[in-house]
Amino acid sequence: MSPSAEAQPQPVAPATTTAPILRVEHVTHAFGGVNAINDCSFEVQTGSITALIGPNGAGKSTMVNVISGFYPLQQGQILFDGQSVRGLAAHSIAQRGLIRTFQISRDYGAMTVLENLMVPPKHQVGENLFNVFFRPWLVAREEKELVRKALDMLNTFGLYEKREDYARSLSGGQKRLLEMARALMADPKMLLLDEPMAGVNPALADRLAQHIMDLRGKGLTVLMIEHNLGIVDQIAQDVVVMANGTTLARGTMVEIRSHPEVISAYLGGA
Amino acid sequence: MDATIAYLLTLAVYYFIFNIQTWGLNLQFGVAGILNFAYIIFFAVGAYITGTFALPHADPFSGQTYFFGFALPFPIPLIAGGLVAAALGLLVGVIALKRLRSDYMAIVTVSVGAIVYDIIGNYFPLFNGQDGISGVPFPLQTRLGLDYNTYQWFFMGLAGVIMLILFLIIQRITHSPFGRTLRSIREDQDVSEAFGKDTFRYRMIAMAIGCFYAGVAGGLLIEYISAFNPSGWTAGETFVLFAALIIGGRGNNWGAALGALLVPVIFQEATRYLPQFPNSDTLVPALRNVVVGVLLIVTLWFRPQGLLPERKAKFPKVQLDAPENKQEEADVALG
Ligand SMILES: Nc1ncnc2c1ncn2[C@@H]1O[C@H](COP(=O)(O)OP(=O)(O)OP(=O)(O)O)[C@@H](O)[C@H]1O
Ligand SMILES: [Mg+2]
Repeated sequence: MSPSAEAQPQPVAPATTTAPILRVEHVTHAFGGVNAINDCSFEVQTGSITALIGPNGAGKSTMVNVISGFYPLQQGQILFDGQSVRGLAAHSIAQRGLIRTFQISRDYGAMTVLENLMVPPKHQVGENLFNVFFRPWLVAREEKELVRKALDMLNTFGLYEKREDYARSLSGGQKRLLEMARALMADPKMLLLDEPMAGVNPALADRLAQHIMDLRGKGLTVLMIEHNLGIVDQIAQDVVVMANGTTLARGTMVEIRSHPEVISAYLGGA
Repeated sequence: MDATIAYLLTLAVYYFIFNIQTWGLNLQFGVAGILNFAYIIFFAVGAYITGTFALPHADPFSGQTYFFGFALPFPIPLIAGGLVAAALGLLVGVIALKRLRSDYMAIVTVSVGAIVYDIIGNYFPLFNGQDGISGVPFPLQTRLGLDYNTYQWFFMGLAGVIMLILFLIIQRITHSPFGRTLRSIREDQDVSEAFGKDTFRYRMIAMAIGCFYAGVAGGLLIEYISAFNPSGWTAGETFVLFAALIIGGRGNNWGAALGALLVPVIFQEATRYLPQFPNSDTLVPALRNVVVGVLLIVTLWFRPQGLLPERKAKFPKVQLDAPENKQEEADVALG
């Protein structure tokens, strides 16, 4: 199978539903006195793949950190699935189904690839020590189910052969695959991907793009930061352009490309 | 009793106690990545609580002053020692584990260690200050009516059974999904948080269990030697335990047991047989730390994972029915 062949330009479908799963309203975030995000607003439609683009330092990663609760919400409002994330710890937001990845891939290096995938499933019975000691059969049964799910996932992402290797021994591209496979083990409603294809070769980037499109078919919503506009064109229905901490433009890639401010601020005539 | 046998018996009991200590430290540092530089404090608190729960009410003419004095029968004082140490661990954890940074955690624990050491050493009404407490009754000795020699054997057996139970428990914890989540937090706390793990809560539990182990170890020591004072738990003791764990193999309870045998038991005991230098009775203890330090550096240089490194996780065998791997038995078990 050649995923890159399948990932060639396809017609971009419009977002399937109109209800936004994520609303970012007038968010401002300051480091010291400097506003990294400045009155930024946008929405992500349920079931869509939305790309967040913008020049280096635009505030995209900061936005991911604010949405996912890694930075406390200072000003403005963020609604995920109709509920405010204000005051929630990062893990509480994740438990609601919003799973993020990091710009630099961060594996659990001294754990095997398979064990990396065994961590994310939520509310595992074996994470409760009472069950570990007094209901070991429940733990054993769940472990078996999770191993099966994890191996299937590794198979899908072409990492099955690597399952027993330490995650730190993977190549940069394999780590990107691992990150995505691992994030999916958490059964997210929405994935927040910070440059999932940074530093991977074009063939692998196509493969990752294909995976992301497959996710959409399964009802997931994806918000991804991506610098490669070709890929954005290929997989994203909606595009949000950030510059200097604020939303510069929103729309489809076609609309974005003709937006004069975007051209001057970011695309530079691309 | 033959002096050699008596000596070996003592060493065995010490070894059991060191094992319990290194397992608790392993859960905190080896598995969960918590840098608790006050670890020995929890050992001491366990010892003092066990001692003063077993001792009768402080008699003003005995020359000792201490709190409690409940004269409780074994094993209540020992369990209390573990529980109070665990509770103190949670208290320290609230301060030390709230922030994400490990250097912050290290600084807090070092300070807490110094504060607790100074309070216990100088506030005599608590645990008799620098003089420490003594005369703690041997567990079950009067009940069993054993003579001194037979009792030594009995105590070794008792300590051995307690150690074994604690080993089985810590192994179960380490290799459970709970232990896996702790390892993931050690590897990258942010990522685990991003997967919905309440990392603070997990680390607090690891802190409490590890401190419980330290407390029980301290309790066993005071029940064995019936006395305890601040010279027995200086900050250097924490260093010895970290060294034992790193040399033996952090993340691996067998490695912790090997480290406990090599470092505090064999190497530290061996230095007792160095010739004594006249007019400098501090030289040998100092040399002891030098030996441990050198051993630690050599290990970190040549075998940073320790003699028995953490092993890859084992998982149940699962038959994968995906087409690409139909022929393949998904045997995930690893050696
Ligand atoms: N922790 C921080 N402390 C202070 N300033 C920060 C911090 N993180 C980001 N910034 C600043 O905020 C601005 C936005 O950074 P951010 O990482 O969000 O950009 P980005 O859009 O993700 O860029 P890139 O495409 O290069 O990843 C930058 O000017 C950066 O220097
Ligand atoms: Mg960024």
